[in-house]
Amino acid sequence: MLLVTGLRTHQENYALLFAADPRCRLIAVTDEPDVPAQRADWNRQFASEMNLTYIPDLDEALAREDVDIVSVCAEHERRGRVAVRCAQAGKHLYLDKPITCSVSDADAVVAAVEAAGVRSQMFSFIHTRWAQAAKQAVESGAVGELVAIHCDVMFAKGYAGTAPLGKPRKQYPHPKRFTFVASKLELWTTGVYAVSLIRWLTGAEVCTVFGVTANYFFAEHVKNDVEDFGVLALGLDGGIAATVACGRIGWTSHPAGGPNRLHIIGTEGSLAVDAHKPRVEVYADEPPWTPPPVNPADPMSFWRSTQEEVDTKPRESWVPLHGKEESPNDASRFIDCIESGRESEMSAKDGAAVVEALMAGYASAARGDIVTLPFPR
Amino acid sequence: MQSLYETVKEILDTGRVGVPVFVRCVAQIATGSESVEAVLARMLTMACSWLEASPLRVYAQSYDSPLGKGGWGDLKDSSRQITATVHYVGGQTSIVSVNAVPGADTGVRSLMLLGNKGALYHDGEVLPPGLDIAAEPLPVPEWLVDAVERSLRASKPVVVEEVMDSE
Repeated sequence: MLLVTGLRTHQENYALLFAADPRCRLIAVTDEPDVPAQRADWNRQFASEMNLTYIPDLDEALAREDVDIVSVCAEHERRGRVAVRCAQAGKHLYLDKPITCSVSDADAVVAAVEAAGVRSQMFSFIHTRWAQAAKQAVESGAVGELVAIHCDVMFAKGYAGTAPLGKPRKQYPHPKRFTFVASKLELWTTGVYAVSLIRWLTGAEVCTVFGVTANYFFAEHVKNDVEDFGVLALGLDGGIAATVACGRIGWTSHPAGGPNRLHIIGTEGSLAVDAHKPRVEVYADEPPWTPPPVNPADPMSFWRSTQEEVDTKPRESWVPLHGKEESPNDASRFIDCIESGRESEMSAKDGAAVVEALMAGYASAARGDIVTLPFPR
Repeated sequence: MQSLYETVKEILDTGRVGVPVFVRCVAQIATGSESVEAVLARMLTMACSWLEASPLRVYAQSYDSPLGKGGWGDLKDSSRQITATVHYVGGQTSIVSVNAVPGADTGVRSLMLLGNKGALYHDGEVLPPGLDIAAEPLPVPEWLVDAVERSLRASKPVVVEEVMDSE
């Protein structure tokens, strides 16, 4: 398989997922030939660290017959066109999330995947233990007919408390830029997990979206004029109400990595599923966990490599009952789909639907009113 | 013993979590014990108090809302859940959800309050009756109930100032 882009992207994580599957052999790191010099350096460095070659021309890499899958982690702004090119070359697509930064680009990826007859999967939480537990509970009828679902996905990273407060954020109807060193659009990058989980769990499409974006925590996000927090209220098929709270909330706001949970409400009962439960809590005569020093190269600690540079320690007060065993491998589930010839439960088509809901969220936040889907192309 | 409302308020007053910016609260009641909208209004009033903020917009969603067919009275009888998403004048937000389930224990099932420098969590315990609300119940403003009702009727967010102006 090929890896499009290297360091300072989620490829740092995805490459390890594929490498861990014995059915998979990493071939090379590649990218578009005209990427900025810094991006090319990061790609080369990653290839070196992974003992892979770097092929600086994507088309040349795609022409290789020993490549079946491409993991696409190009920056948001060029992810769509890279994905289309890979699909047109007949390669199966493993896509970073969200799959594109416009609804029309997402449509193009879906069309390319369908035309080429390849499989696709967007990285998501659906294969985690807690999501699988939620799915089993819903399908067992434990709560009766679904009435409402609430999902929190937040990352407890970054030094919070520097954003000026006191007035609503002025949101643009369509985000202008997606890639920054010191901030991400948090409704975009964390909301994608929540919306994809909600669609997958309910099997229902998003019909209406009410969104609010905010700057609560970080001066870095204010400086780049992007939100650090977002709220969505979704109307789903069948009258199900869904809400999402998502964002980056600061190192000290959670004992583990951040709130990741679902409240599922049905006609016969309700259920809370938490990524950090069941757990054992440990308090001992040892120094308390402290956040790492700020790495100027990555002040919000987005990437594994930059966190390692500043020796970021794991938070170990909460020990999940399944111990340190990794969650089921999302990449392996994709390979399962390819081998068995079935569609992923989080295909490019699902990714496109999530892009549409998130874009509607921004439009709603700008307008102060609900947005009804389909979203204009 | 202090109620959840008062305990949270007291912690916020210490400034430990900074300025409160977001509340998410899920409450559950037993069907027939109390109206969903009354509990929702009370929870929203508590959220406003914790955030020390006035609502700008309220968007309420009800499962299979009968409003528009039979009006508010029908909603009281048949609604099983209402979720309100609120955007406040100072930029804060809250999501408050109340659902009625046959035979359920009544109370706050989950509370998360984010400050700009920390967070409060209350999870999983079913509190004794009355302990999740203020010892002295907060007065629920009529305009807040009205805003929820109007949003449910319109199936869209309502601007609270417009609701107050029309009263």
